[in-house]
Amino acid sequence: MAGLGNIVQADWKLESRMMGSIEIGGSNHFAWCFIDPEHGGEGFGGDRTSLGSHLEFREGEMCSIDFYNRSGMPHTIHLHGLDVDQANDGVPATSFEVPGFGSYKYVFRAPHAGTYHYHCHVDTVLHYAKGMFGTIIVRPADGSTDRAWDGGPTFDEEVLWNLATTDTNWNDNLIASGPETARFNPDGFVINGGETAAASADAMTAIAVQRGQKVYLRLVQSSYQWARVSLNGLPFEVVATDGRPMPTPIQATSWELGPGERYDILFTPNTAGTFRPMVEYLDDYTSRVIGSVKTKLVVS
Amino acid sequence: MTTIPPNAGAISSRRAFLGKLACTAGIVASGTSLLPRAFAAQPAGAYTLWAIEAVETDESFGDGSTVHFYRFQPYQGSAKRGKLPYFEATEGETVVLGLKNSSRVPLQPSIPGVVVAPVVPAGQTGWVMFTMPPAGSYQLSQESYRVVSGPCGLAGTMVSRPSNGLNELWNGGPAFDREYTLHYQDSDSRWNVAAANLQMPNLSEYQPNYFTLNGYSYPDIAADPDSVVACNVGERVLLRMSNSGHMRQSIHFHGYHAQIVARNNVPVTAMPAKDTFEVAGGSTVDIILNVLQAGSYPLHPHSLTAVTANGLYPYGQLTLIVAS
Ligand SMILES: [Cu+2]
Ligand SMILES: [Cu+2]
Repeated sequence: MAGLGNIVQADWKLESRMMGSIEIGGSNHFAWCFIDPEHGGEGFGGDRTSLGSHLEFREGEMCSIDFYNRSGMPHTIHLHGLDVDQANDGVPATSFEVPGFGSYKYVFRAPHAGTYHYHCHVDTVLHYAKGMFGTIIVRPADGSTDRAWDGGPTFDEEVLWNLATTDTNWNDNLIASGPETARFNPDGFVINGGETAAASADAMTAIAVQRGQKVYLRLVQSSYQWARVSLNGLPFEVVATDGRPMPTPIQATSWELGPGERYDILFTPNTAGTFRPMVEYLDDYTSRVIGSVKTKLVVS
Repeated sequence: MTTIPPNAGAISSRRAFLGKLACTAGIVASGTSLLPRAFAAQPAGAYTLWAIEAVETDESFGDGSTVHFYRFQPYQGSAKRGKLPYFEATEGETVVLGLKNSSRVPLQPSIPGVVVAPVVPAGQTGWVMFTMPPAGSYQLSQESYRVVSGPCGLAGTMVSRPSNGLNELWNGGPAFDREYTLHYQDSDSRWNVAAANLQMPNLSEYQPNYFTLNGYSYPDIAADPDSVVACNVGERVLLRMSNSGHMRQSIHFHGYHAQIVARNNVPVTAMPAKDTFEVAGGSTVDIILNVLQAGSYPLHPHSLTAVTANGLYPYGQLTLIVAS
């Protein structure tokens, strides 16, 4: 199950890590990250700091994230899409920020089973771009990890793709927003923190299934660009978005996600072979592809 | 660089336009009032007047800089939302849209999909008569050098009310208790500088760095009663979003999922409640918010450069939903 569904619990811990890294163009660049201190002390997949740890909860349960800010600058956790109350919304202007080396326990009731997002909301244009985000999966109330929601589709394999772009100048050289963050010029285009070579070799990202197996793919869009996802021509069904089931699933061979959106897609490959799923990042003004990343889907 | 002459295109477009719609549009010499009585060729019959003026303004932003805009603004007592002109009438009504062009460039107001006015030369006034389209949300736009027009500020909103007189988006359509108009604009200040100098900007390069909602940038937005979504728990609030910029916005709600009900006045039924919505340049999107909890919640684009003033956070297109 590619690292998903192993731990479903009500109470999690997160810490800020300001010395993360992301590999772009063959060299390491600074990244800011959220890590899970209780399960390996790294970010997503337990082996990287280019993307925050993912957290799994059960629908309807009272839940918490005990956040310790292991840095000298303020951060927060905004629970994007969980519709939490104002006090737990993680926005400095309407709730509060967690000061350097401070902590706060965010408390909320887990909403409808589905795919959600979390991120820092302090000086957001920069903190978000530098990597301070991750994914929240809400499981059905019974905690099952092979069904998307109560009464929803079941699946044999589950994969999570966080889609993001990086401007390495921002990552390496900036610590606060200002004229230099006026224009975001990404030179890194990633899935789960990895460019094509890494994303194709990464056990958390590349997909290996047998013919006829149902794959549930959760897409979380964390770029400032629109992203177009395709599976090398394989058809898929769009079954949920932003934590809610689609009224009627939509058949597609490519799908565009806006910044902050989530879509869950379901597909069943019936032909053996190696496919190259791709994410293309688009320019708002010209619609042109400004960069892309591929991973691997092996069907045996 | 191409210089924009003050009356470029006016004569030929006007002749072509008047040839086609001779009895429904006119140009009035400079110095003449736009009051309907004063039209040289007065629109015939009964109609409602929507008068606007085009002006040039220097607007200041939170990073301390000033940007030159061309703006439509209310004229002779017409309405506004935030800074931008706003007009509403019932579907099927006859309306005259009149423009006093106090800017230095020829302008051609339009309501895309509904009507295009004649080109109104700099310093002159002009008008066009049209029938209010089917109930829904529409943009006031501008056709002359259109690609530059939105980023330079020329925009507004028009609402067509259903003939049944109810608080519904259209006859029998989604009902609401209150409504807000949220108009997103983005500007690449390099284009504004060119337009201020009556030059065409480099059209191949556009990366906006100033962002407004109803003409305001945060925190001014938070002080504008038209632009803060004030509401009560239990209400259904209609948000008429539109975007006259070039950014393909992805607008995120804190605190709530909401329901898209129409895009460009075409009903949308394929989507569940979402927390993030596409509002592309040139489009209108109607969203129903069921206010399920009290509190103050941000509503903002998730391309977060749009929540800055030339990169400085938090300015730009940030507003709040304030629910009691
Ligand atoms: Cu932060
Ligand atoms: Cu967010």
